[in-house]
Amino acid sequence: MATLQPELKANGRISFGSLLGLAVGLLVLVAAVGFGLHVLQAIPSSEWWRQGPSLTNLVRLYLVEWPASWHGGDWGVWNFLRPGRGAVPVITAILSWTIVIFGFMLPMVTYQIYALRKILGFMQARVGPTQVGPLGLLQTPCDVLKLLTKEDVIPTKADRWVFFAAPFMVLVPASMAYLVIPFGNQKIVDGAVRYSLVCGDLNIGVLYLSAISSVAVIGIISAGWASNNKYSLLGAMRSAAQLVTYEVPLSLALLAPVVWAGTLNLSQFAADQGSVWGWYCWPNLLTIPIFVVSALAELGHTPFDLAEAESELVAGYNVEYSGMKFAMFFLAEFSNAFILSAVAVTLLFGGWQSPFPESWGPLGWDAGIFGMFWFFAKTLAMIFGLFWVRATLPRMRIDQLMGLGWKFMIPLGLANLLLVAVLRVLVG
Amino acid sequence: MSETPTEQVQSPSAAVAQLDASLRAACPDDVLELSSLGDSPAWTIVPAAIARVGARLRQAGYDHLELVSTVDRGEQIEIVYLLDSMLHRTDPRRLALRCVVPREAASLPTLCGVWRAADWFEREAFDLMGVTFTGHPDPRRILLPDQWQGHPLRKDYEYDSDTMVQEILDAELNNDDLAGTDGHAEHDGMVTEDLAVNMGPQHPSTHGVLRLRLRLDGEYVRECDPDIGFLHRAFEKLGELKTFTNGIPLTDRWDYLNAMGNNMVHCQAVEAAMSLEVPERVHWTRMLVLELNRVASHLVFIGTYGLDLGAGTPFLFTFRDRERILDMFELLCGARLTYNYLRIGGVAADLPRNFIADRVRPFLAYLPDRLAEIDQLLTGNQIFLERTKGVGIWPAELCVSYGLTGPLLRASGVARDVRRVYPYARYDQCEFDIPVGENGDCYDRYIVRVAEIRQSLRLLDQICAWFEANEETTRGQISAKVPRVIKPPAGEVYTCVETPRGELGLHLVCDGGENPYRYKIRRPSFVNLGLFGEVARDQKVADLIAILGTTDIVMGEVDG
Repeated sequence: MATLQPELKANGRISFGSLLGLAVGLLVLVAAVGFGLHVLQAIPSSEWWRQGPSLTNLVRLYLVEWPASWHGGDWGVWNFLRPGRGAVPVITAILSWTIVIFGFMLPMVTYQIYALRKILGFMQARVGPTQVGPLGLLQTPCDVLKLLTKEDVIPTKADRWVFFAAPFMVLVPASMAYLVIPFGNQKIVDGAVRYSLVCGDLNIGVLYLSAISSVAVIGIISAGWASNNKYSLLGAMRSAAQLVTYEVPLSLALLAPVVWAGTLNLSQFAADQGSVWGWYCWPNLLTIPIFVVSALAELGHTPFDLAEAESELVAGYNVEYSGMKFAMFFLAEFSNAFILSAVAVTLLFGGWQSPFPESWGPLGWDAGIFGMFWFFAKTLAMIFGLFWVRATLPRMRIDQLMGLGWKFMIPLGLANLLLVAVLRVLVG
Repeated sequence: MSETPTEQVQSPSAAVAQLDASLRAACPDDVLELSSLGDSPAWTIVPAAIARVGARLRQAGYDHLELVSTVDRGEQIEIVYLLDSMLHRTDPRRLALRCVVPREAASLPTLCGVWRAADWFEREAFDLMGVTFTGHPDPRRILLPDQWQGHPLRKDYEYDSDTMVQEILDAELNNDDLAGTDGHAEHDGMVTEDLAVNMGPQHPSTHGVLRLRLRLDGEYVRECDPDIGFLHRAFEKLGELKTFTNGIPLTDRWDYLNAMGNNMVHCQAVEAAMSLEVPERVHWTRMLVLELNRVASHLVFIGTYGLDLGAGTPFLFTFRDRERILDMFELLCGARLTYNYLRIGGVAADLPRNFIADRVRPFLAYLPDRLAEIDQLLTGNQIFLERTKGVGIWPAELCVSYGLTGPLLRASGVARDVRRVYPYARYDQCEFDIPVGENGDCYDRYIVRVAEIRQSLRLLDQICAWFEANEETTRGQISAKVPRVIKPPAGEVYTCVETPRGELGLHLVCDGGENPYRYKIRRPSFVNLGLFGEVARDQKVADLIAILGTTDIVMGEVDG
C-alpha cells in the first residue's frame, strides 16, 4: 500500500482527456434526462399518441421535427444541422439506431445471456450466477459494463482498419433486422394506425431479412483475416463456408410460408394467422425442422458451433478481439438468436396472436400489451429450445456439416417448397 | 471378453535355460551372461549387437518393448531393455536385456527399427542420461529444451543456471521456427500454401501443456510433431534425492488423476526390493482405493472427452459423480487430489468405521444410473457416433509396436491388463472381465473406458464383500512390520500396476542406502503419446482433437 499511494497521487492530476470525458458524459446525461422528461410529460396529449405511439413516429417526431422547431426554425450558424440538410438524416439514423441497440437489443441480449447461464446451470446440475445482485440478476449487466470499460487491444500485425470495421459489419445487420419484426398487434382506428409495434412496416420484409442476414459473413471473414491469427483465419473460413451453405436452405425454409401466405410483409403474416389452428406451421410441418436446423447453423449454435469450436480453434474468428469489440460479436450472435426465433414465430407460429380463440376471454386477447406478451412468450420459448439444444448435443465436424447442408438440407428444402406450393394450390 | 486363464508353464528355470540356449545358438558372439532383474531373467548383450538380438527376440514373440532404462554405474552406463509379449505367449513372459557402454562414449545402435516404442524411450535416455543411439531417426532432446547442457541423471551432473537459463530463454523467445515450416501443396494443378499452426501449450484441448506443431493443408493435418516437457519436474532425479518414505508424496504428482496408483507402484517396488509381506487387509484396502481412483479417473476422461467434442453437459455430470469419490478419499486421508495414502508396508490410516456401508455401498448403487445418463447423452448420440466411429483407427500391431498399454491397447482388441498378467494385491482372487474393443477407433477407446468403470464397480462389490466378512477380525491391521529406516538391500526390481492410463512401472535400483540409486518410471501417458505424431497425419483438425482426447494423457505424467 505504501508504494501504491504516492503513485496514484503522482498520476492524479486532472488531464484534458478526463475533463472532456466528464463534460461529454454530463451533456449526454442532461440531454437524456431532458429528453425523457419531455417525452413523458408530452405523452397523453402529444402528437405521438394521436398519430399512433410507434417507434417510427417517436423517432420522426422527437428526433426530427421537434429539434427542427427550436429557435423558430432558424439555427444560425448551426443551420446545416437542420432537418432537410445533409447531416440530419445521418444524426437521426445514428440516434434511432442507438435507441434500438441500447434501449432494446442490449438489455434483451444481456438477460438472454443471464437466462442462458441459469438454464444451462439448471440442466448441468449447478446453479449459474448467484453472487451479483439478487439471484445473480446483475451479473450480466456488470459483465457488459466490464467489457465496455476494458482496454481495446489491437494486435500489432493486424490490419487495423479492417479489424476495427469488422465488428460493426456484424453488429449493424444484426440490429437492422429488428426493423421489420412485428412485436405486437397493429390496430387501425379511423384510418390511423394505433398500437403499431413494428418499426418499419416493409412490404418486402422477408426479402429484406434474408438480404440483411447475409451481410454479416463479410464482417466475420474480415475479422478473421484482419486479426492476422491462424486460428481466427481458420474459424473465419469455416464460418464463411457454413453461413454461405446454410443461407440456401434457410431461404428455402423462409420461402415455403411465403408461398403459403402470399405475402412478404411480416406484419401481414402475423395478422393473417389467427389462433392456433390457423397458424402456418400446420401446412409447413416439414419447414419447421429445415428452418430450425439451418437457423442453428446460421447462428453458429451447437451442434454447428464449428466457427468458434473452443476445443479446436480456441475461439474462432474473434479470438484476437477484446473489450467492447468482442462484446459486439457476442451481442450480434445473441441478437441473431432472438431475431431468428422471432422470425420463426412470426412466419409459422402466429406472431403476436394468442393461440386461443377470441371467444376464450382474456386468454384470447392479443391487442397491445397482450400481443406483445404472446410474441415474447413464443420467441423466448424458441430461445429456450436453442439453449436446450446447446446443453445436449456435441459438435459436428466441418465436412459432416457441409455434407448435411448440400446433400440433404437443400434437396429437402426444395422438395418442401414444392410440397407447400402443391398444398396451396389444392387447398385454394 | 475375458482372457483365458494362464496356462501352467514349465518351471521357470527350464524355460529360461531353453531360451538361453536358443539365443546363444542364434547369436553366439553377442550374448554374454545370464543374470536376473527382479523375477525376470536378464541377458547381457554386446552393445553393438543389440539391434540384432532385439530383432531375434521380436521374432520369437517379444513384441512389446516395455521400458528402456539407464543406470549410471560409475565408469559405465548400463542400458536395460525390458521385453514382454502381448500378442504371443512367450516363456518366460518378460525378460530383460542389458548393455554396458563406457561412460565417455555411451553409444549403441537404435532399436527403432525393431520396436517403434524405442523412439521416445531412446530420446528420453539421450536427454537425461546422455546415451546416444546411432541410427535414431530423430535424435533430439525430448523433455528438456534443445539448448540444455549436460544430462541431469548422470551422477556427476552439475547444474549451471546462470549461463544456460539465459541462453534457453533467448532461444525460446526468438524461436520463429514455425514460420519457416510453411510449405506448399498442389491440388489438381492449384498450388496452395500449407499453414503452420502451433497448437498449445496454451490451448483448451491439449489437456494441459502439450504443444503440437501442426502443418495444415486446409482442414487436414499433414504433419504433427508433439513437443513435450513444459511440465517436466524431474521426478526421476527427485526420486534419487528423497528417501524411500519421502518419495511417496512426490508420486502423487506424476499422474494427478490417479495418485493412489502412483503411490501403489512406489510402495510395491520398495516392498518387493525389501521382500516385505503386507497384511491381508492392506491388500484389500489398497484395491479399494485403486479401483475408486480408477472410476474417478475414467469419469474425468468421459467428461473431458465430451468437452473435446463440444458437449459441455457430460463434463459437469461426471465431475458431480467424481465428487463423491473425492469425498470418500477426503474422509480416508484428508486430501482430494494428492492423497499420500499408501505407505511402505501398509496404508496411512484404517478405513473409518462404517466406511463401506455408509459410503462405498451407496456409491455403487448410485453410479450405474448416472452411467445410463451418460449413455443417453453421449454413447447413444448420433452426432457423437458420427464423430467417433471409424475415426482414428489404430490396428493392434501398431499399438503393440508403440508399446501402448491400458484402455488404448485394449480398444484395439488386445486383452492385456497388468491386473491379470502380473497380478498384484489380491486381483488374482477377484473376478472381472477385460473389456476389449473391436475396431480400435475413437468410439472403442471411449466405450472400453465406460465398460471398465462397470468392471471396477464389479471389483468394488467384491472388495466390499471382503470387508463386510472380515471387518471385525482384521480391523487395525494396516501395516507390516517395517524398520524405522528403510534400507532395501542392493539389487534391482521392476514392478508395475495397471493405472487408468496403462501400465505404470517402476524400475528401482537400490545400492543398500536410504535413497534409491536409480528411480526409472515407466510413465504410460508418455509411452502412449509416442504414437500420436504418426496417427495424427492426414486427419482432419477436428478429428485430431477427437483422437487426442481418447489418449487421455495427463501432462504431469507425460513430462515426468
